[in-house]
Amino acid sequence: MTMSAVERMYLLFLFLAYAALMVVMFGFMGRMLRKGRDLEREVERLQAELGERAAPKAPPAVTPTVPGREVGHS
Amino acid sequence: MTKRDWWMWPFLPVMWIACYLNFLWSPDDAQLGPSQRIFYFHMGAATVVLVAYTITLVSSIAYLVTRRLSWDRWAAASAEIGTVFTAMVLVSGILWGRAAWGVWWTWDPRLTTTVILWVIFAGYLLLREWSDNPERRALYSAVVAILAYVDVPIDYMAVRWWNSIHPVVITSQGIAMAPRMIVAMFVSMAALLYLFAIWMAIRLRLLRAEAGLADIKNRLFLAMQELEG
Amino acid sequence: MAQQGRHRFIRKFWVIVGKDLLLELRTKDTWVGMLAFVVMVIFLFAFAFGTDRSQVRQTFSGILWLAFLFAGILGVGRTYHHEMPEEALVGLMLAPGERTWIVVAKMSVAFCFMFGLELVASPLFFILLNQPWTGRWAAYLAALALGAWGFVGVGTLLSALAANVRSGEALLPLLLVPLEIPVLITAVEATRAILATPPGNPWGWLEGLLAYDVIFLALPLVLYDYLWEV
Repeated sequence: MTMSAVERMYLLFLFLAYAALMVVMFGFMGRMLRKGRDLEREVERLQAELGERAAPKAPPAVTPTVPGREVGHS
Repeated sequence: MTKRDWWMWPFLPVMWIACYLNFLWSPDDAQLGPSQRIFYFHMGAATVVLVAYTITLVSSIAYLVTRRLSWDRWAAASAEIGTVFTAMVLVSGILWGRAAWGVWWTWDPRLTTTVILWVIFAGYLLLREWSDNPERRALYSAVVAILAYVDVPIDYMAVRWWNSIHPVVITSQGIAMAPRMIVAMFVSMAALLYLFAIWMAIRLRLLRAEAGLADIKNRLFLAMQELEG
Repeated sequence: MAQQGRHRFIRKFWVIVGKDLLLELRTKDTWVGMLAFVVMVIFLFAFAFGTDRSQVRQTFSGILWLAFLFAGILGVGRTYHHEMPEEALVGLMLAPGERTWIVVAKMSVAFCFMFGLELVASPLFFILLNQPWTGRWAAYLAALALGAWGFVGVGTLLSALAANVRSGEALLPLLLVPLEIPVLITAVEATRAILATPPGNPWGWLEGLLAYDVIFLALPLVLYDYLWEV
C-alpha cells in the first residue's frame, strides 16, 4: 500500500497537530506542577503555624477510626 | 514552571522526537499502510498501563504492611492515571481495529480482558470517591486493588494463551518488526512513560496537599472545640 | 489442649452458620427475596425474548446464569446485613476462636443460599421456558456448585467492604460484576455444553471455573485479615 503525495502531507499535518497539542499539554502540566508546589508550601506553612500547639489526640467523634491494629470497626 | 521542576523540561523535545518518528520517519506497514502508525502510541500507552497498575499493586501491598498513608496516595495517583491510559489504549485500539479488521470492536480475549480491567479500576476509583474516612478508604481500596490486579497478568497473557486475533509484537523470538519501527516504538514508550511520571508528580502533590488540608481542618475544629470549653 | 482449642474454633464456625440459617428460617428475608427475584427475571426474559422453544434454546444457559448472577448480588450483598446494627460483628470477632472462621462461615452460608436458590430455580427455568432436560445431572450440579462458589468467594469480601461505605449498595454490583465475568463466561459455556444435543464436553470450562474459584477463595481469605481492622 503506497501513499500519494497528498496523503504524505496529511501525515505531516498530523505530526504538526500532535506537536502543537504537546506544547499545550506541556504548558498545562508545568502550570499544574507549579501550582501543586505552591499549594504544598501553603499547607506546610499553615501546619507549622498550627503545629505550635501539640497536635491534640483526636476524640473518636472527629476521627471515628484510628490507624493501627484494633478490634472492631465503626 | 519553577526551576525546581527542571526534570520536566526535556519532555517537549522527547515528545516531539517521538511524534516525528511515529508520523514521518518510520516506514509504512507492508499490509496496513499508514494506519499502523497508531500502534506506537497504543503500545506505549499499554506499557504505561502495565507500569501504573503495578505501582498501584505494590503501593497497596506496602500500605497494608506499613500503614503509611503516603503509600495510599501513590496507589491512588497511579490507578487514576493508569485508568486514563487504559482508555487511551482502548480508543487507539478501536480506531486501529476499524482500519485493520474492519470492525470497531470484537469480543476477542485481549480486548475483553482490557475492557474488564478498565471497568474494575473505574469501580476502584468510585470506591475511593465514595469513602469518607482516609484510613478506611486506604484499606478498602488496597484490598480491591489487589483483587483487581489479578486481571493484569491475564490480560498480558491473553494473546499468548488463547488464539486471539490481536497481534503479538514481542515474542520469545524477538520483536517482529522493521528496525525503524522498533526504534519508534521504544521512543514512544519512553515518551509516554515520561508523561506518566509528570502526571504522577502532579497528582501526588495535589493528594498530599489535600491530605494536609484535611489535617488542618481537623486541628482547627479541635482547637475551636477547646476554646468553646 | 490443642485438640480442645481446635474443637472450639470449629465450633465458632458451626455456631455462626447455625445462627445465620436459623435467622433466615425465622425471617426469610434473604432467600424469599432472591427466589422471588429470580421468578420475576424468568418472567421478564420470557416477555422480552419470547417463549419460542428453539429460539430460547440459543440463549437459555445465558439467561439462567444472568438470573443467578443478579439474584446472587442481591443475596450476597446482605451477607453482613445482620451484623451491622449494634456492632454485632465486633461481638463475633471478640468471641473466642479464629476470626477466619467468621469469614468461612459467612461464605458457607452465602454458598448455601446461592446453591439452594440455583437448585430450586433451575426446574422453574426448564418448565417456564419450555426446555427439555437432556443433560447429565452430575455435570450440571458441578457447574451450579462451582458457579456458586466462584460467586461467594469474592462476593462476601466485597459485601463486607460495601457494608461500610457510603452508597455501598450501588458500589457492590459495580465492583462485583466485572470480577464475576470469568465465572459467567465459563459457567454459561459449561452449561451450554451440558444441555446441547448431542452433549458437548463441559469439563474444560469447569476446570477453568475451578481455577478461578481457587484463586478467588485464597485471595479473599488472605485479605480479610486486613479488612477487619478498621
